[in-house]
Amino acid sequence: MSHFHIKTPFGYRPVSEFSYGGEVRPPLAPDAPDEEAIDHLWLRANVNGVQRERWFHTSGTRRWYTIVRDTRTNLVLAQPGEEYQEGSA
Amino acid sequence: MSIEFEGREVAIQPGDSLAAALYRDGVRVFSRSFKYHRPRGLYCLSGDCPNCLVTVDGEVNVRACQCAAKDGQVVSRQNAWPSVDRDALNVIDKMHPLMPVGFYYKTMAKPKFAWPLAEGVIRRVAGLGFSDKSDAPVDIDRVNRHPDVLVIGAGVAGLSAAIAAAAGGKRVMVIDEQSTPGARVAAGPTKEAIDRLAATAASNPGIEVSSGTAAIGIYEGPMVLALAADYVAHIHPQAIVIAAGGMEVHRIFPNNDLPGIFMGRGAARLAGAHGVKPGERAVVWAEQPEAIEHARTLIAAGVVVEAVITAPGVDASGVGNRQIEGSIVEAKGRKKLAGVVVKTTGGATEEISCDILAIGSEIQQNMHLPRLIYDLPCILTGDSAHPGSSLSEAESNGREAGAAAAAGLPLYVNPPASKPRTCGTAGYVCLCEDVSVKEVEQAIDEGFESAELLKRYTTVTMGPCQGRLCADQLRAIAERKTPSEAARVSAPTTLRPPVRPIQIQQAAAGARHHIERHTPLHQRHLEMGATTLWAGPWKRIFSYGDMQAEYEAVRHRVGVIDVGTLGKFLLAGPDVVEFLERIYPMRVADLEPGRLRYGLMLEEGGVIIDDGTVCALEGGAFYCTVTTSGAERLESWMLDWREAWGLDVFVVNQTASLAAVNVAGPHARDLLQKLSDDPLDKETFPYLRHRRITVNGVSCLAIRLGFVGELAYELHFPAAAAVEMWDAILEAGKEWDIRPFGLDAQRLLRLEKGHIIISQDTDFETNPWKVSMEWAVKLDKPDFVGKAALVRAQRRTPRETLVPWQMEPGMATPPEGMTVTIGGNLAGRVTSSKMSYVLGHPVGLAWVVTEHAKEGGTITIGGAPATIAGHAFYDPEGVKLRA
Repeated sequence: MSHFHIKTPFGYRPVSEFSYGGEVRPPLAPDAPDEEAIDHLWLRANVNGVQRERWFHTSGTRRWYTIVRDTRTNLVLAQPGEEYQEGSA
Repeated sequence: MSIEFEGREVAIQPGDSLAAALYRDGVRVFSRSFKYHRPRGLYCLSGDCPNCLVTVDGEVNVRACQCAAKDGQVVSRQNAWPSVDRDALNVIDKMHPLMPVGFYYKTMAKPKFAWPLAEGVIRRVAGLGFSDKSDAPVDIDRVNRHPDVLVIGAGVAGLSAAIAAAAGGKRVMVIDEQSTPGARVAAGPTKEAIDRLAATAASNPGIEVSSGTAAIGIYEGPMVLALAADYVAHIHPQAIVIAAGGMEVHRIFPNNDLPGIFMGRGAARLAGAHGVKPGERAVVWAEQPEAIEHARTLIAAGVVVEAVITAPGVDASGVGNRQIEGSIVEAKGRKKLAGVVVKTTGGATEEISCDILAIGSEIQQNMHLPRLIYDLPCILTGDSAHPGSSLSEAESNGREAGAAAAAGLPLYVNPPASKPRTCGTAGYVCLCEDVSVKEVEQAIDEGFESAELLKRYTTVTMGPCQGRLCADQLRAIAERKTPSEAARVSAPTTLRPPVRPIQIQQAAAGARHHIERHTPLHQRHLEMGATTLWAGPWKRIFSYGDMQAEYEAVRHRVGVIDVGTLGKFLLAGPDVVEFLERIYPMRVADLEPGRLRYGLMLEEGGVIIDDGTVCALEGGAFYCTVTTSGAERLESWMLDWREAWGLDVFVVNQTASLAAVNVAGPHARDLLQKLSDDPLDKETFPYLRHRRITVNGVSCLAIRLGFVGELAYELHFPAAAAVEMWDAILEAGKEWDIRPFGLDAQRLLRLEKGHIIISQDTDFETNPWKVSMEWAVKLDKPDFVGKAALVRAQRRTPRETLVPWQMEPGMATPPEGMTVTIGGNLAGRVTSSKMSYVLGHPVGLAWVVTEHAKEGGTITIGGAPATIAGHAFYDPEGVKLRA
């Protein structure tokens, strides 16, 4: 298991306390064409690089957190509530 | 105090390691080498070499020099027959020409049948001890630690770093593999410095020194995996200071593996820290000044130092009987060291008789931990950064490292590249795998030139020492043989954790830390002889011993089941209706207070992930139940959607705070009426309604549901009242011979009603259409999770449909999972199957290809005919549950 920390109201907690919730995606518009809907439902970007993603603090605060992480290095580039600026690593 | 060593008693003294106790007792040969069965004795005394691996109380490959001697231990040596002292297998040492490197690949490969025979022999002759295969599994605890700064190594630099980091306001944890800081350091200035710093650290509340704890790997995070005596720690610091020290370079010359040859620090440890005299007459090879201290330590222990062999620039004046500038080129002796051959700087050679040789060679960093850093926030200090630092250098360097760690400075310090070493032309490169210089050279001649290839072919660096002694020497030989390709071959081999030997059970520490959840009634169930099974994180009741009796009670009289494991959620807030309309595929907005509705839960792809009920409460709140295994997951799922939609809703998980029981059977009302003054009659409290009623003096949310197909009341009430409620219900039900029932009976009861169980009867592509639950989906709603997929799925006929089936009386009940065939072709599979007591024949559910999934159709299950039913088997009109 990769290891990094996510900032919660109770400090930085190890990722082993969290469950992965996937990449942050825009919602599907109800009138989206089939192709777009199918892509939304079944495909993920699976980024090799910087990604906004969700984590649920399963063994802890039981809240969701959104972070920006580089999937290549597992470095957290923006903790919950922080602004991520491109190139700031 | 004593230990039992190969059938005899060996006295031990307080603070002894096994190695020290055995050495004091006269044991000189501690093991036989891996391949050639050469005698091997103590060498490093720091846990870095393979020479002292012994079996202790049945545990194989214990490093005797690192294992504290305890009264009553049973210790034996390994890898020899009949004994380590007289090892007949030593004849292999005379057979080098027959056993070239990789000989087992070469000689036993053909004919093919020979290998299994040869393998048996090789496995017995080679290898390191025999593990006890009868072991019952041992569970080792895993703990998580979160210091600000972790210091690895409680030496001079490490302790200095810890003190400096604590002064910077950080919570510091220091781990060290020895029993106490400096436990294995010979008396002298280093020991004094460690004692002084350790005392300072111990009195500092911001520093925790965890001795007897070995770091075995550094991982992303950073996370350091550490082994303590009886648990495994996952340490999650913000910054790591590595002060893992250094060790002398393994020197290679003919017979460099004879018992009596020590690393300089090893000999000094034995004499200075353990008080065991290593021998009578010593030669000390001093490539650097620290070795002169070793010579003094030996002299203080009563050893005669015959000569100190110095490298140019090392001052040995006044130490030892003679001082010779030069180097050792060969060791003499058969079973133990008898003398050394010295080559002076002038070129003359001389043989000096001695029984121990202490090699104070150049200090190199303990490279394992530094080489695992990659880009993690680690800082190196002491010998880990500057091998061979003086005491004062180590102390000031440690302070700098600690201050930097505390300040959170950019700490990404690359470890110094380990530099290639010079290496002799004969002798043992690798003590673990028994590989000589000659064999490495032969492998290079065969074309294995780069260090990585040589490593894999010769297995040098792959033994218990994990390359500590031999990795750089391997590169040195490779470079010497193929100088033109030096750049390529000299790339160091990759180091990986574990840095220290780890037991399989330690690697699995925490693997069985299951959360096991119990309802407040669990103990009552066990007292009644219940058997349990896992349901998600819960232990649920399978049966109380007689499933049929439990079943009959529900169908004909009354029964009660503990359903406290159901996921229970209170939802409220301004947007709660909107939220539920989007979470559930059915309509919620028109649900009046006091009413309830069955609801599926779908994921975005339209697949059913859970089901349960939604009760509209007075005042606009809702009470929702989900399945036992779904509660945890659905809580996070609902919270995720709440944020995605930005709706103002509170989701309160009441799963643990509320208990729930379902009283079911024709006499359920009669029973509850004995415990409640509230009206329970059909007109006031009909099916699919819920009311707050008082039962046995406790306010309950009572829900009229029909999962088991009988008149039933599901009572939800505070968990604290559970036991009294349960006892009262059983007491009140005596006149109808009430039975508590378990999951086994419940599964049959619901199967007779044709109700599906999510994840038993459904799979990861089951949408409502496939299970004929169109009625639970309202596609005319503006939107709900899964709608986009369902709208599109509706355009095509599903390949398979879930259908109820029944067999003729007298036929055997097919097992769940059995294949369904039609006309000899595979046509589906059985998901649920049981013998129906009320009907007298087997019933079940099965996936069947849609074109054949017609009521009245015949299918074949495991060779037996079955008929597809069109509706519930039991009480299809639902008269009983509406009673």
